[in-house]
Amino acid sequence: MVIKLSADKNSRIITEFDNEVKIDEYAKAYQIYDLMHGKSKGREWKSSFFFILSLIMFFILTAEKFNLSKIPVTAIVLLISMYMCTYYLYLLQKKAKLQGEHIYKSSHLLSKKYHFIINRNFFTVKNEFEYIKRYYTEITDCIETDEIFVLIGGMEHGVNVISKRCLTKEQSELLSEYFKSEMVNEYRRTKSSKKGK
Amino acid sequence: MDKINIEECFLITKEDYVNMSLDKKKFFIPKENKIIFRVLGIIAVCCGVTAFINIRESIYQIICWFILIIIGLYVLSYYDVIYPVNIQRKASRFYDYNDKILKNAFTLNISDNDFKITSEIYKICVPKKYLYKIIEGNNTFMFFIDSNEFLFIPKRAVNTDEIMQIKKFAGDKYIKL
Repeated sequence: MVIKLSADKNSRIITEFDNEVKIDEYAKAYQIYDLMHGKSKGREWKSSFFFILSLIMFFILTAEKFNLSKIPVTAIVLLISMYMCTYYLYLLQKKAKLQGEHIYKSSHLLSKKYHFIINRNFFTVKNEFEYIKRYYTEITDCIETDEIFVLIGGMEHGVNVISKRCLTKEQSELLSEYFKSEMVNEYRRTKSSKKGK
Repeated sequence: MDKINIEECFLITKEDYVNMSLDKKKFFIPKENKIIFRVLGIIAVCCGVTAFINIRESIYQIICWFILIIIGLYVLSYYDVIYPVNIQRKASRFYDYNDKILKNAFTLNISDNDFKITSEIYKICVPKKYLYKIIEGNNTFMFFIDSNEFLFIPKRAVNTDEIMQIKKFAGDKYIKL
């Protein structure tokens, strides 16, 4: 599986490996993508807006002593605002995960094995059907979780997923360090789900 | 029977990219959504205006009707005015930001069974059966690899005969917007 591993930053190839992404890993990556560039982007602001709108409607209802026959629209807007607040905070994330799974299932390429070559200034992803070369300067977000690396960037904010299952421990650490140093502003590590980590 | 053989080289301009973004949104947004938004917008504006004229017992009511009219106008004009303007602005900004990628020359090759696009940084060569859908928009052809990701070519890059060949290549995967 592992062909080469080089920690020397002066060599052109940092490391290379075969990578195969599973449906749950892709769904997780898509969820992250959705948070950064999709519908979930700015969900805190959107849900806050609807929360404030709910409060205003509630205040109006209270002022009118909950006489719904007088101001029925307020009650409707209150209900819609409360739904939208919940939608942006919780439902949208679940929807993004389902969408990620749907995309994975609809693709003939995502489930295929890809060969990654991590170079000093760019990385390449290759299999029999596809070849992608992406410079680190194109990457807008590099997110590391416990299971995956998600690299977002390039044309149409393409998503590249590296599964840690396909890496050795040394490779995983090397990539983590390398991405951190190479993409200082773009790199983020999500909080570990395991205790004490 | 004529064989399909298309070979074209093209550059993506900012106008192509903006047009593609509009076609893409047209495909991804169901028509029902637009109808629902228009109907809801009209209802909200009508209710708001009627209530504003007839029921003004307290300041809270006036605020309530005013909010309803604003929301109604926003919803009514969302897909016709606000959304396209927003898309154009975003696409234009994205093109400027990613000009190094998008200003590469792309080469398109389509044969009877294969679809191929190559540039300096990206190559794809997939059999027709691996394509999810082929969408013809107002100004672009979009070749979907899955339900989300696609490659596009501006229509101006191909001639009328080649457009017919693409339609033939697409077969039952062809959708016209």
